[in-house]
Amino acid sequence: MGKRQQKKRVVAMAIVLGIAFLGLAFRLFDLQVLRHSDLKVKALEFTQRETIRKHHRGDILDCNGKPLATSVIVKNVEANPELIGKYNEEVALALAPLLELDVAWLAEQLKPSMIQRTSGLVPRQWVPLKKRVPTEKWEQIEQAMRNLVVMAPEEEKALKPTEKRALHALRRRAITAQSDQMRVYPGQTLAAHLLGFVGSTNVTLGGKTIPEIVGVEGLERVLNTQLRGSPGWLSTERDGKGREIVRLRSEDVQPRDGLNVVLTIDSFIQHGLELALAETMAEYRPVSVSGVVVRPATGEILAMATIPTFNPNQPGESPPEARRNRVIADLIDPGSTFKPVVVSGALHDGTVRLTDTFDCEHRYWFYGGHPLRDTHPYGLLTVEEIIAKSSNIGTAKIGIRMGAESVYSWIRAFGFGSRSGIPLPGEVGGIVPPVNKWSKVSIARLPIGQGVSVTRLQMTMAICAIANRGQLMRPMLVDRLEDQEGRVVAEYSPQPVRQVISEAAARQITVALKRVVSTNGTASGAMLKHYTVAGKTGTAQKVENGTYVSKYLSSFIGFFPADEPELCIAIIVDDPSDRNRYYGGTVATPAFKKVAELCASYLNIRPDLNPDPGEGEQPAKTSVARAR
Amino acid sequence: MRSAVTILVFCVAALLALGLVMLYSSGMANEKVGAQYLVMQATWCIIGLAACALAAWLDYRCLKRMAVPLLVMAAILLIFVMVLPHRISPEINGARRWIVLGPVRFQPSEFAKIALILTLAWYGERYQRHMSTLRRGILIPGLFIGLILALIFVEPDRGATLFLAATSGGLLLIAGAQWKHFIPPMLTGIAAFGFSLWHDPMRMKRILSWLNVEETRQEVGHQAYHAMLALGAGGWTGMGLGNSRQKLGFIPFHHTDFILPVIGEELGLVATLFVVMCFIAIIVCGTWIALKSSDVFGLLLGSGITLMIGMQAMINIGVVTSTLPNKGLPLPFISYGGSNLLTMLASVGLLLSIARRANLAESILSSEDADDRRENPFRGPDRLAVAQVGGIS
Repeated sequence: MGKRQQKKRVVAMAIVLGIAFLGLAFRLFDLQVLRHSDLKVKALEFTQRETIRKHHRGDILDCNGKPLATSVIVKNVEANPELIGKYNEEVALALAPLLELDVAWLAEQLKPSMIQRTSGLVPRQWVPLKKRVPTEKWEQIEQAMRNLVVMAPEEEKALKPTEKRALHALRRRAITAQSDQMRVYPGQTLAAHLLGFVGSTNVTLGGKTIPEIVGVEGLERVLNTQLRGSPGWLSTERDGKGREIVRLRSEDVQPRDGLNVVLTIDSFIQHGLELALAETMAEYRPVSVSGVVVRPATGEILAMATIPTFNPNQPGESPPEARRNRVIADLIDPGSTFKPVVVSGALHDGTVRLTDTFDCEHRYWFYGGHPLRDTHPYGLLTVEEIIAKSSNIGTAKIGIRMGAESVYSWIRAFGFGSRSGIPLPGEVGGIVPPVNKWSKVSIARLPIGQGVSVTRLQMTMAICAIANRGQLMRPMLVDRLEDQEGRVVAEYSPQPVRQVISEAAARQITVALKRVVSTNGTASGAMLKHYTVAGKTGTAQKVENGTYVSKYLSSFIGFFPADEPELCIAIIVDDPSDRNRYYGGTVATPAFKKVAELCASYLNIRPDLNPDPGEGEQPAKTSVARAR
Repeated sequence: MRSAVTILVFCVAALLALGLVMLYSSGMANEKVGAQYLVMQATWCIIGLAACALAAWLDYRCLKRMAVPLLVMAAILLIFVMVLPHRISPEINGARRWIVLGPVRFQPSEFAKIALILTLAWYGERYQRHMSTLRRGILIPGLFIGLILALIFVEPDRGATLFLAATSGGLLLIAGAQWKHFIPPMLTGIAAFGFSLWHDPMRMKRILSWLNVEETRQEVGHQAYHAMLALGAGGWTGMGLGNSRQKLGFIPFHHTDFILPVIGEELGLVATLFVVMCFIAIIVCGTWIALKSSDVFGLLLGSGITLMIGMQAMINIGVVTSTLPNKGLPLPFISYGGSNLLTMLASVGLLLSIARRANLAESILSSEDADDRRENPFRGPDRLAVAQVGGIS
């Protein structure tokens, strides 16, 4: 074979190699340019790690720092069937009692299976087992997995290294848990309508969907922004062994916990109020019964409750009407409790004086072609007596003397027809018909609390205004916001809405209201042993479909000590089913008395009545209270 | 010729430099290694360059006499690997390929490569006229090729066996073996290799994984898949020197066989194409030098070396781009590995030596040729006729 032939073959070899290299060059071009975007994403999947840093939703605390709503860490338990392999039944047997799940169902879930993905059939690596498992339970589960026995120890020792490793993975990594937080209301139904409840939603953060608690009702909803906080995240990359490459950390955001909300609510008083309401509920079987305890001087709400109520831990188990906060969301015709509103306006204007007398027509009086009735026949009554005896005819006559414009403006001045501004969702403003919409009888009806629609809270706050020397306060529910370390972030102070009536007028109407709560007033049941009480009963006939029916809204709103009021308590009973006992003085006053006595001793309110010398124990207590 | 040598030296130097830089970048990924690889490789590089200079300086023709003794030595070393105590020849990654003497780790199969090529070149020249016969062209060279291959095969180093079989086969063809004699043993060899694969589930898995890299990425296809990801992530210009992600525990052999994906990821297509271009240039220059060599030994040796470098680079790049099934072969001049680097640089030295002699011979030969033609215009065709007769017989 000649050299020329050999040279040909050398050249051929070079050409073949050259072509091969050109092919490889194209292959590189294909990988690095044509498939660049696709492969880059896939490569990032291996290294990029987005970790969500969990945050804590703030607590809702009562004024003494007791938790009313709090968040606890729970675990969402998950399994990786691929690691469990053939031992699904053993694992199911070990975990079923801990997870309180059916063994057969669990074994089925843990069985390895294939699922369809875009890249083809892949083994299923993630199965959710149970949500919201308490952390202690999760620790037990971990323990159970670690000590899982699938075969005799001797057998296990004889296993191949790969099988041993698989077994180790099964024990350590097959069952995992994600941390989650769960909202817990330790008081169960306590202050349920105020606190509201939460739901969960999913938020996307950096492409990851994470569950997030969101307030659905009550304070949880209104203060959601303050309570929720925000999750942090860590955007970083990891190496093949799963270790973080710190220099490639691109985003590192610390989580921010939500703020704690400290309420003006006192859980002790709240509990006492709820108990008293429940007793009333049991005795009179009304549709509902509501109560509010307010400090008139500041507008701080110490307790607010409505029965029927619900448990915010399981809000779905109660009907919607039980979840409605009737104190602010329902409109009522207030009835006689409304009388002091108009009369105090007349006193302020000087239209009437407490000693002015009105002819109360002995029970029946026709005005504008309609009869107006009193429960008892009265003749001449002073203004003070009209309030004390709750004469409809007398109050109507005062209203007529004032004139429509004056009546209307006084009603509005006490805050009716506009929202009180309590930080709760669903508050309504009520309906006060403007003068031009009034009928002939309106001037006689409105002063006695008919033909106006108000909320229970508005009514309470109006009486509080009288107690607070004529100054209407905005109801206060949130005292301050604190961070998790207890540092005060925001503090709220009492907000006066306006000076409605003069101090003098307030003092005068209080004199009349004190007469209500006396042995011969309508609210004798509300009298306290150590305190003078001022208040007003109400027994409003309810309107259904435009006509008055024999259903009543019985209420009592009172404050004490009458001249230096510390507390104002409202009890409103909607439709007591007892046809003989429905007067506010009968139905609502026992609850008032119970709550008032409880509060008085709990808050150490200084008595303003001389204690009965017959009782040896009481003076001592009084002196203690005085000393304070 | 001068420009061929210049380009060859430039390309080799460029690849060496890139290799050292990438080795440092690669080593950074492992806190235990640090610059240790770089120091080792640089040391081997200096030794290799010295060997290269020595090989270039000495007349390659004196190696004719040494070819057979070198091959025998290589065979002995390969046997040593098997029979020496484990202390000197330890089992690394399931194979006994190295002789360890203190800090020096040496791979006899690398030495065997060059020895085999030398021997084949010597044989090809010595029996040039008989290469077209079955006995001289295939059987006798096949015997010693087979011996060396068998020794490497049992290490086991199947990748190197296959590669060396292809290289020596190519060299036999160039030397003048006939296709009709060459194809049956080649087919037998392929069948035998296929049979051995069939009975080795591990190798079989590797081959199957090559057919579908993405699905086997959890197990055997892991490295190949991540090499693809690394190249893909690099794009045109790469993620920047030192910024490879896949070297961080995803590609285990990122400093040896799988260094090209790291280059691709950090420096992009620009760098990988540069590497490919360098190898093409080395092949062209090597071929040119072989063609211009003054004798048949030079031609065969030059083309054998070119074939060895080219094939090894081609297989390596093919493997890391998942174009070929996974076979562990280093990328010449770049991958970490002292024996290989030494062999490669010494081979380049031999190429340079051939080029030097060719320079001297070229003018003499061409004038001789001219004289010949003037005196006897039929001399050339006569030679060809003789060659053809020889080829047919």
